[in-house]
Amino acid sequence: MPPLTLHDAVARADDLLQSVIADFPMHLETTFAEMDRSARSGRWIEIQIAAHDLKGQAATLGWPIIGLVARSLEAALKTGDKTNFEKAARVHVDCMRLCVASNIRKPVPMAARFLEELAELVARMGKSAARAG
Amino acid sequence: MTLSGDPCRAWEARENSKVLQKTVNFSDTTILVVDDNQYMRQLISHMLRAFEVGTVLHADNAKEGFAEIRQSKIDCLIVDWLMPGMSGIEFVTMVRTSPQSSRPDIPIILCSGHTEKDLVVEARDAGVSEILTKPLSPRSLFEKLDLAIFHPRPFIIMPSYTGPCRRRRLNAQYDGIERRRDSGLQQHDIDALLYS
Repeated sequence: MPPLTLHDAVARADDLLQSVIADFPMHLETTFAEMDRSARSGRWIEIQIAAHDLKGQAATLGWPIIGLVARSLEAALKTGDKTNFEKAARVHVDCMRLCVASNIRKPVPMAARFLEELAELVARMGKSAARAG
Repeated sequence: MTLSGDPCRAWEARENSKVLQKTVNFSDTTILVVDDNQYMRQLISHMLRAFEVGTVLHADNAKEGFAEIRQSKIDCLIVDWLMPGMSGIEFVTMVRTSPQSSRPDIPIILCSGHTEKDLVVEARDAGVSEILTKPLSPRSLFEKLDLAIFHPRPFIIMPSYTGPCRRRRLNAQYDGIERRRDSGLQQHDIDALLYS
């Protein structure tokens, strides 16, 4: 087999990735449903891992806003404020669902406002965890 | 300013063009992807197929990956950092140092969304060959594979560290106290140490 140039390899990979990119919203719905189930059962580590994975996948596949919300969810679950984990998971997953449903892929002004609100929630959780010691 | 009017940008464009024309043949290589996330495995596999990698194998956890290394002749591992059970870093440490490891010197690429310095240092000190940061791109994966498989750094076996040489820059003139002395070992001596 003849050697491949980086140029050709990248072009071929981009073509092959189109089908993965097209299926991504469906994959997101499945992931959100799994996150809901994990939240109901208090399996926070599973949600944290799912959020971490989403962060990388979404940025790779052209949904940076989902990556940013997933990053915020991961940060929320790292605060240690367990009393608010369920709320944080619900709010973040709802936000990601809304972005997918509205086809919001980048931090447009409305999405930027969501992100600010999520950042405030994570900051409150951090303070609450610090107070609890 | 036009491209031709800016010597720095013109140089950058020329260098980039050279890199893009670089040829690599992965058709004889076998790559094992160890990632608990099926979607990520699929994503990486698509890229590897586009690169005409000979064989792509998968494992969805570290234990399975370790067993696969013992069974198959693998040229490179692509491992996710965050996995349930054993993390990517713990897996790399096991491959590099466990007496049960069949390939302690295998090139390992660690995928990570973390780029903080202390985490990169942790990965380097565990014996990771290359770190692939997320978001992944076909170009970055191609370049890391080329480096890890075809341009590996010398393999080091020390009581405190086993893995590819952590120095990426060669300075033949350096003669300070941290200069590594030539052990006098040849490749067959290293192989004997690794596989005896």
